[in-house]
Amino acid sequence: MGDTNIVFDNVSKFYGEVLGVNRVHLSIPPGITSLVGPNGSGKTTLMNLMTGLLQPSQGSVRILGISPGEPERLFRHVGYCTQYDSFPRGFSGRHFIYAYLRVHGIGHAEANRRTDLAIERVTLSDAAHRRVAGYSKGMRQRIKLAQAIAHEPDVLVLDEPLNGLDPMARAEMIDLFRDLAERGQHVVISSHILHEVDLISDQVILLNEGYVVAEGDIRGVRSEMEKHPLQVLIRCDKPALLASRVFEQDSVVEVKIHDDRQGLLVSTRDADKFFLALNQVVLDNGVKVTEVTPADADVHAVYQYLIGYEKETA
Amino acid sequence: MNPLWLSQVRGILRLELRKNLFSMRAMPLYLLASTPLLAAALFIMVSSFSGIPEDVRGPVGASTFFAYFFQFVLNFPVYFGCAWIFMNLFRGEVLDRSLHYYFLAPVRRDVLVAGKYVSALVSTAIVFIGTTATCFLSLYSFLGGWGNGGLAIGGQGVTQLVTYLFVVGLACLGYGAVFLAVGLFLRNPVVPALILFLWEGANPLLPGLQEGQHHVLPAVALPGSTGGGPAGVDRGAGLRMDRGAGPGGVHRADPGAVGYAHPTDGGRLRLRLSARRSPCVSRLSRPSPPVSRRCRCQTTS
Repeated sequence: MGDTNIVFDNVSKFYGEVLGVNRVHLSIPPGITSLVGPNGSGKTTLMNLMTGLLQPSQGSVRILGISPGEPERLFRHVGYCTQYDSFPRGFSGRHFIYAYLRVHGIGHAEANRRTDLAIERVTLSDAAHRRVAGYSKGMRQRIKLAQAIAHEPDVLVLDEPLNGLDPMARAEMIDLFRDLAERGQHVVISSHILHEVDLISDQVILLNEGYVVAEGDIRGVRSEMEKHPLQVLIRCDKPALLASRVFEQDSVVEVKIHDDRQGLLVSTRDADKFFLALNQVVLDNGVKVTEVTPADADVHAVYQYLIGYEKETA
Repeated sequence: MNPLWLSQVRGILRLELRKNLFSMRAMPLYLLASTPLLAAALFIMVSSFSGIPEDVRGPVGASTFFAYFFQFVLNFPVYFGCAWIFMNLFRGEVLDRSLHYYFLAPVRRDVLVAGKYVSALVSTAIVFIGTTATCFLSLYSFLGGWGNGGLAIGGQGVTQLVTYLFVVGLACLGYGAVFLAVGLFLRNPVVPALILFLWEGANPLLPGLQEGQHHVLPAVALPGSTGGGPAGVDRGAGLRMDRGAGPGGVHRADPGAVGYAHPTDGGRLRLRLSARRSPCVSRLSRPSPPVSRRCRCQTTS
C-alpha cells in the first residue's frame, strides 16, 4: 500500500518560528487529488516537501516508497510544475524541454521523441520553436506543464496549473489530467478555482493555517460534517404540500419554500434517511418532482463551512 | 565513472554553455575579455604612428612589457571574468528563479555542481585563452618575434605561448573553484570577490604573509630568443637561464618558473620561483649588467 501511495507521516515544517505545515498524516492514492486552502495555508509547502525542495522539520515523506532525499531516484517518477513563472533565458519552448530531458540522462533521439510528445499533449506544437520569453501567460503555463510531464512521471505535482489559462485551454488541461489519472498516475493539484476542483478531483485535501482540515472524497467529507446539515434543493409542482410532509420527518431540521414557489430547500442531518422518506412522501401525495440536488455538497460549500467559518469566527 | 553521470554532465554542459556564451549573462565576460585586445590594438596603433617606445625595444624591454601586459590580463579580465561566470552559476539561477529545474531532475547534487563547474571552466577557458593567444600573437609579431622564427614549431615563442595559455587555463581552474564555492555559500559574493582581489593586489607588499602560499601568477615572457650561448638548465629551480648570452643575456623563464611583475615595483621584474627553497635560486639575484638597468631579477625565500 505504502509503495503505491504518497505518504506523509507526522510531517511538520517550520520556517524559523513561522509554521508551514504541522503534524500532517496523509496517504494519497492514485487519481486526481486537489489541495485546497487559502493563501498561506501550506499547499505549496506540502508540494515542496513532496518533491524534496524542502526538508521536513519533523516526520518523513515517501513518494511511491522513495524518500525525497534521493533525487536521482525520485525524479524518474515525479514531475513538478511549480508556480514560478520563470524560465532559463534565451530558450525556445522546444529547446527548454529537450535540454532538461538531456539533463535527465536521456539520449538525443529519445529526448526528441518525448519532447515532441509532451508539446503535442499541451497543444503547443505551433509555438514550440518560438522563444519562451515571447509566450503569453497561458502558453508559459502549458510549456511548464509539458516540461513536467515530458519524462513520463508516475506522480505529477502541479501548483496552480490552471492559472492564466483561458476556458478552452482549461478544459484541455483538465482532460489531460483526467487522462493521466485514468492511466493510474497520481496527479496532485493545488488550486483556488473551487468549482473546477470539484469537477476534476477524486479526492480533496483541505488545508488551513498549516493543518489538514479534511481529506478524502468530497461527498464523504461533507457527510461527516454533522454541525452543518446537508441542504437539498427539490424542484416540484406542489412545494407547500411537500414542505409540510417532509417537515414531519425526524431527520429534517429546516424547510424553506423557494422564492419562485417552484421548489423547496430542505436541511437534513441524515441524508440517507431523508431520501428514503422523500420517496414515500412523493408517492403518497402524487407530487411531480423534476430535480433533487444536494445544494451544499461541493468543495465550495465544504470550504466555506470548514475554512470560511473558522475565518469568520476568528 | 558512472555512464549516466557522464551523460548528465554532458546535458548540463550543453545547457550551461548556451547560457554562459550565448545569452545576456555572457556580455560582461566578452566586455572583460575585450579589454586586453583593445589595449593591444591601442599599443600597436600608437606604436605604428610614433614608433615602438624605447623601453619596449629589444628582448628585455619586450619581456618587461609582456610581463606587465599579461599580468594585467590575469589580474583584471580573467579574475573578474571568472568571478562573474562562476559566481552566477548558482546565484544567477537563484535570482532568475530557474534553479529548481535542475533540482527537479534526477541528478545527484555533486554531479550538478561538477557539470556546472566544467561548463563554466570551458566557457572561460575558450574566451580567455582566445584573448590571450590573440594578444600574444599580435604583440609578438608586432615586436618582431616572427622575424626570428620564434613561432616555428619548437621555437621560443611557441613555448612562451603555450606557457601563457597554460597559466590562463590554470587561473580559470583555480579562480573558478574559489568563486563557485563563494557563489554557493554566500548570498552576496561581490564583497568576497573584491576582498580577494585586494588581497591578491596587496600580496607583493606583504612578503611575510606569503610564506607557504601558492598563487596562480603569469609566467614572465621573453619574446624572441637573443641567440646567445647554450642555455643552462637548472631543473631544481625549475628555471632555465641563458648564462652565455653575454651583455645581452637575460634570464629566461620556463613553464616551471612562475614570474610576477608588479606595477608598483618601479619597473623591476621580480621572479618568484616555484621551488623557493632551492639553493640554486640564489644565483638569480646576481643581475647581469644590461638587465640591472631596467630589470633586476631577485628571489624571495
